[in-house]
Amino acid sequence: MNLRPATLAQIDEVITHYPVKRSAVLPLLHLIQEEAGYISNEAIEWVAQKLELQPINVYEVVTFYPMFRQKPIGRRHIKVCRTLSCALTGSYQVCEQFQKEFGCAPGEISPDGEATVEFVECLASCGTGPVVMIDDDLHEKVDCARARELSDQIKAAARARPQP
Amino acid sequence: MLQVTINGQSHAFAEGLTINEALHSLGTEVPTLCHDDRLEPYGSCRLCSVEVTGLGGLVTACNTQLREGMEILTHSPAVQGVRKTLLGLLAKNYPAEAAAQFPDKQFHRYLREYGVPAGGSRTAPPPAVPFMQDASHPYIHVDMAQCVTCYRCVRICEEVQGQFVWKAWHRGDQTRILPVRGTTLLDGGCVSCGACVDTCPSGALEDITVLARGLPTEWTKTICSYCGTGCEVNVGTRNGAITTIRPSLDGPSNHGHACVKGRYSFDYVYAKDRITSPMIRRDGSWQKVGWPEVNQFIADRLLETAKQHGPDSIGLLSSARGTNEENYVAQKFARVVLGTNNIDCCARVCHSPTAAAMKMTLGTGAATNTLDDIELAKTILVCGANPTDGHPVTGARLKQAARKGAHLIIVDPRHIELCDYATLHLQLHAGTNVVLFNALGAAILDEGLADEEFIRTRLTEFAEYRDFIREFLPEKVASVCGVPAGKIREAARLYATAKPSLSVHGLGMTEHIQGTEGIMALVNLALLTGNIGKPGTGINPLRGQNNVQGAPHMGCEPKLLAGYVPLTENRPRFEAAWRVPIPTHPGLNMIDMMDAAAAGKLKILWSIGYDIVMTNPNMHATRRAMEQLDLVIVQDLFLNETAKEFGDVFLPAASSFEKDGTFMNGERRLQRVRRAALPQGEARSDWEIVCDLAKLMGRGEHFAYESAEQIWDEVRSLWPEGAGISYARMDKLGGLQWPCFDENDPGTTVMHATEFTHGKTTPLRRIDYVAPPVLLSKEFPFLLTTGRNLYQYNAATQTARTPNDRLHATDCLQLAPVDARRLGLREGELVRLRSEQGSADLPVQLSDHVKPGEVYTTFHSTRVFLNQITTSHRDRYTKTPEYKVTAVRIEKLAPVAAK
Amino acid sequence: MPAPQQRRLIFAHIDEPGYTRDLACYRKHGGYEVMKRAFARPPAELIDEVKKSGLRGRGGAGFSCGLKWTLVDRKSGKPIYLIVNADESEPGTFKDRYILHQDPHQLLEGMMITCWANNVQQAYIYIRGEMPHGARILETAIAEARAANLCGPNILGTNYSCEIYVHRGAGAYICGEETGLIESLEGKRPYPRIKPPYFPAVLGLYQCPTIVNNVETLCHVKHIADMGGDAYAQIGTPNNTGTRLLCVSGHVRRPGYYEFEVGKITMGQLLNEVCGGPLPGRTFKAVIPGGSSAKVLRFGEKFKIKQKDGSVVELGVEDLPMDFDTLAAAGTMGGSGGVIVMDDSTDMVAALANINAFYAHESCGQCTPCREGSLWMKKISSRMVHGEARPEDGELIRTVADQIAGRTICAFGEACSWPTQSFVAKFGEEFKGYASAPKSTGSMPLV
Repeated sequence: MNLRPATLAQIDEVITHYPVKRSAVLPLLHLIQEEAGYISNEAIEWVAQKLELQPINVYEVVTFYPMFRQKPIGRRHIKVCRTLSCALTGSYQVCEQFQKEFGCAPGEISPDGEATVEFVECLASCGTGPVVMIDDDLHEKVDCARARELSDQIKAAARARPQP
Repeated sequence: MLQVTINGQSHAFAEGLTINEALHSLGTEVPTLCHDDRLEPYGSCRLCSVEVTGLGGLVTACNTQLREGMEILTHSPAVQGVRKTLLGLLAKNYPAEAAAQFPDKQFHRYLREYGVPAGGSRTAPPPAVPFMQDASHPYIHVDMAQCVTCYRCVRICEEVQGQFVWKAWHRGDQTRILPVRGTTLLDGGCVSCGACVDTCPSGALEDITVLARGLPTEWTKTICSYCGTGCEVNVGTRNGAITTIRPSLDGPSNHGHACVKGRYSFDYVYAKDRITSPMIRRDGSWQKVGWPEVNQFIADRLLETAKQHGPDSIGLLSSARGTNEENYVAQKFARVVLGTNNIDCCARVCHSPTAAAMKMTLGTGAATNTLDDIELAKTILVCGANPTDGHPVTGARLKQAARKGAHLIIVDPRHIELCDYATLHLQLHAGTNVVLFNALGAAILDEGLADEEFIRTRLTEFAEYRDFIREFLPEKVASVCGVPAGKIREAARLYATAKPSLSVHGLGMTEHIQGTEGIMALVNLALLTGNIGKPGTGINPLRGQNNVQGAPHMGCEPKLLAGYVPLTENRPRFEAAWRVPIPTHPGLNMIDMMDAAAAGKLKILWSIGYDIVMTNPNMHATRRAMEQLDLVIVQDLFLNETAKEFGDVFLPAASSFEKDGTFMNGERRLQRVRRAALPQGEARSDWEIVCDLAKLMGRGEHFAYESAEQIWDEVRSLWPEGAGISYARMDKLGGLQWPCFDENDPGTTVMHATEFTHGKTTPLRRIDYVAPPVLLSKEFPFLLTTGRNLYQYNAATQTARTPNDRLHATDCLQLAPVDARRLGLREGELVRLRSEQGSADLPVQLSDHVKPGEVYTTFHSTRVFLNQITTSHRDRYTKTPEYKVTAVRIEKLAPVAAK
Repeated sequence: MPAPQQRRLIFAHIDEPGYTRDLACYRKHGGYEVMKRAFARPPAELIDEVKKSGLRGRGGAGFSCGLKWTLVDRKSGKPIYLIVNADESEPGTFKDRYILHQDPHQLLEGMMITCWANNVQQAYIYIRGEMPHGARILETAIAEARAANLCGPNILGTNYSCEIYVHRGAGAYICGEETGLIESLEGKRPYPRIKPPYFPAVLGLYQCPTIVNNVETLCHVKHIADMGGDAYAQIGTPNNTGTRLLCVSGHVRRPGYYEFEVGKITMGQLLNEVCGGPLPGRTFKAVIPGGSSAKVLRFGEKFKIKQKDGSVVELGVEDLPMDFDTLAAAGTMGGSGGVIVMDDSTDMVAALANINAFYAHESCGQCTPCREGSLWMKKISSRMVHGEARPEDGELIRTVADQIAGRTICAFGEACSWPTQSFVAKFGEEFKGYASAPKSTGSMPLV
């Protein structure tokens, strides 16, 4: 595992929050996913060793929580809320709009690698639905027009990025 | 008592029961998929829901405590409806073929009883998250399309075996039970104990043998024939052949658990190379003969040799694998028919030092306590034993004890699996047990942690011991034994204060030149701290073989008679019973016999169930001795190495599945061995073979037994401490621990409670350290120590003839990576291990579990023949060989040899 | 009757211009003064205040907070833990989000008072994984408080120490169940524990006595400590004391969060006056009053509600006061305060299918009825919406629900069955209609 020193320091610090090391499984997985984009098998074994667990104790946890990914995703992660309040205000159309914008099915990486669109369960902002999270940021009252705008911003940012 | 109404009937129950336990005691069954008595209540299948008036609906019987005045309905329309719905949900996609194939499996039976059809099919397309299928394990077949997600496999692996192989992955309806990395069972660290299969209520996990041979039609309760734990098992047979073995839920020493050997390693019974007719080697080749012919041949030779060279020119080796009855008959044959005390057994190469030391110090040469005490102890000393490999069921209990908070202190030169669960690992230099145990004793006194009251009332020679032991203060001897003084003191504190403290030990204690003395030094610790005579304490040898406690106890000892009593004092009693004189002078033990053979004094050796060549140390010396013998009789299931090289006569013996009798396990428990299958071919029980020969040799009236039980009744008539242990009581109670003086005596779980067997007090022994004679040299710079692997058993006579051989194909040399680098060796590379005695070739396995400068291997493989290099050094008291310490060098082999 | 004014205790400053979430601003508004006063009082007195206040948990079950604290095993010799349940995940609920994001110190002050009262020296805030900013905001707030010696070692020279840590979830509704949450915090799969024997007050986090309280509940504790339990109990209605946060979503003109005295506002006042009524041209059809697991109410149905004086009055949905007891008497629950409104454009079968998909996705998989039953309910309702309805489906799905509610290890069984039971019971004609005309009638796709 090649983790940045800052991440490693955070990992060591967060373990001290708990009287039992195993409790740090979720925090460690979050930190690794934030840096690496997903949780590889190598990362799972590393976490197990770090916390003095059997690797299976990490597998059973990683596969339970939908926020942990075992595969890479697109550069931006677009999560549209699917649950009732947002659905009542149009989230199904919004999700379709994002898929159309990036040309990919839910959960897949767009052909340009820019985005992964996911239809997720309740994001706990039901009063401002439909809501969408793009990476860590919450966008409220997103209708199809707003979805197009947000998509355009992402695409513009991609174009502005220096090509390798 | 609680008054509870169940289905309209009033019942009284003790407090503290769950509803399920109460129903169980009435014989009322409610269906359950997730419950197993071996496991903590889990409450996930909900099938055991019952209606309880006043509790507002349904509660699960498995985890709900019984309360005063409850009114319980176990089969009301409401609960039956719930059960039917739940079964329907589980059966929606369950393969109908599977339910039809094994209609009596728990889940399948429920489907039938509740009229719920299985709605799936084996040919159905796999779901998005596929079901695991694994046919790569030699014993366990996995088909998770039949999984009902009851989590029993997950929990039994964790709560009983302590292995954590199975876990739930994903969630919701996509929950899948998978081993680590989700691939195969063996990749997941499975130790093949079969507990998951045993508990699985559906067809998801099944024994390969059951799939191949069908479910058993008959079950026979008997005792496992491997280690001294003495697990009670049920042998399942179909058409007279064994198809599966399951641990017995009420087994007193295993409580429903087993290991790969007891559970699965039985196919040696049907091995192609099993010999099932008597044979005589003539002109170099084996010829099948009938029993009359072979008996006459042996009788003639025995009589002739006895006449010519005296009875002491004949030696008889009995087997700790045989029953008590067989061992009793064998020693009686030596003494009554041959007129010699030249009778010994394989305890000589394992725990003779334990028996001798404990007999001297405590008065009885057997475990002071019971395996159940493991759950009572707060501190457990594990000395020179690797229970998770050698005694896996006991090993699993030790793991569970540690998981529940007991302190494990491991005394071992190697990092064994239990070290992962231990509070302390005292990684001493091999051969320095006496130093370390003395240092622990010194630390206990130095820190004022001894049990003053116990010392005052039960011990003598304390002042002398106190003065003597000062020389062993940890700071003074740390460098000798290689354990830091601080660690020794920490261990002393735990053992002396976190009580009750119990000790278990293995051959790492006994197979040394100071084997007997090492045990005495260990006993001193228990005495000093008062950790004896109470539940959760004591000195508890993990006996290696199923009946190694019993065989010498039955008198297969040159100086002792049945009951482990000295020949000198007890001869008259036995002469009176047997109505023949017994030779007065002690006989030769097995090691002496080898010496006598080499010197030309021993002419005939009859070995029952013991592979001398493979097992004895320093094989070249063994061979030289064996070559001198006039006649070698081998009684076994197979042409073992001894038979192949030196055998003249072969007598086909019955396996322990094929006979009746008793075994005595390591905790002094006598348990019944029952015939589950008929002997193969002309094979016969050892006792029948011996008795027939006795009759032929004119001593028939002393051997007129018609059953094993008759032999046993003679044994207990001569052995007061076992007098109360009858077949009828063993059948009823599942086993009894001696001392048990009469048929009302419940037996003894804890010995020495108020006095020792030989009196109220015992002296503390002052044991000085004698360094092992092998000293590392430039020529032999590595210290070799030996041990056992989980999948093989001793000389592997049985296990190598089962699929276990796939699981442990060869002995490997464990070597510290730093040493490997220095010698330029790679993982798997074949090397030659050379000692002064000889050499053996085996592959290298890099391991952090051995210290640099020390190497380790097992000695199971006939391909490696490790005993070519072990030494002839012996314990000073019992002559038990020092298998544990050999100076060796490692030679890199030319690439051509490595092919 | 016109709707009462909001009574803002918890949301006193949220949305106030210039109010920021930092410590300085919080202190300027009197922050941590209550804690300082509380620390001068014996813990038992504070527990008494909370008991007197009648505070009921705001997470969903409405269990008495004082009683919860009383059940804590204080003789075990083991440490006592406090866990803040900030895993706000019941669909329709979004009140705690605003406390966490806009007024984190209010929560911390409530926590510290709770910790002092219960001799807790280590507390965790278990926050939804989907609130990464919230987690950072809390961490910053804790660091500020620690630097000001308001938590951490030897707080304000009292010799009392208490550490607070933030622990992020990772997308699992079941972590809102307190024993599932505890398992998750222990680094395991969040499988709820069986009760008995694993009651958190005795065998909670690391098998130690543990208090699990909701974010809003702990904020109320601060106000109780401030004004005293008796004064707090004067707010709201008897047995339904204090204020509560109501979050309204779905088909209303002004969805959002509001704070009222419990029981002082009716459903009708809330939806018609406070939230501005239905969307133009629409009428209300149904409302779920306490998060999506609460049983749905159909506009037009009547409830016979027993009054304190023993008389029985008949009330419509609009007349129901928004308190725990009345909503329970109406066959549903106040739950987490998440009010989801559906107007006449809503296809109730599709709405149920949407809900069922959520619960099937969130079932942890531990016990049979929930794992298999939630999936089965999802499958049936989903096939109905997708044109494969069978005549018996409405009744079938309800039968399945009946066999799940009350049959599971945790309350998820009820959570996933109540919607089905109530939707089919109250909108049976729509379910029947699907068998003959198998297509969605709603204006918005919900599945």
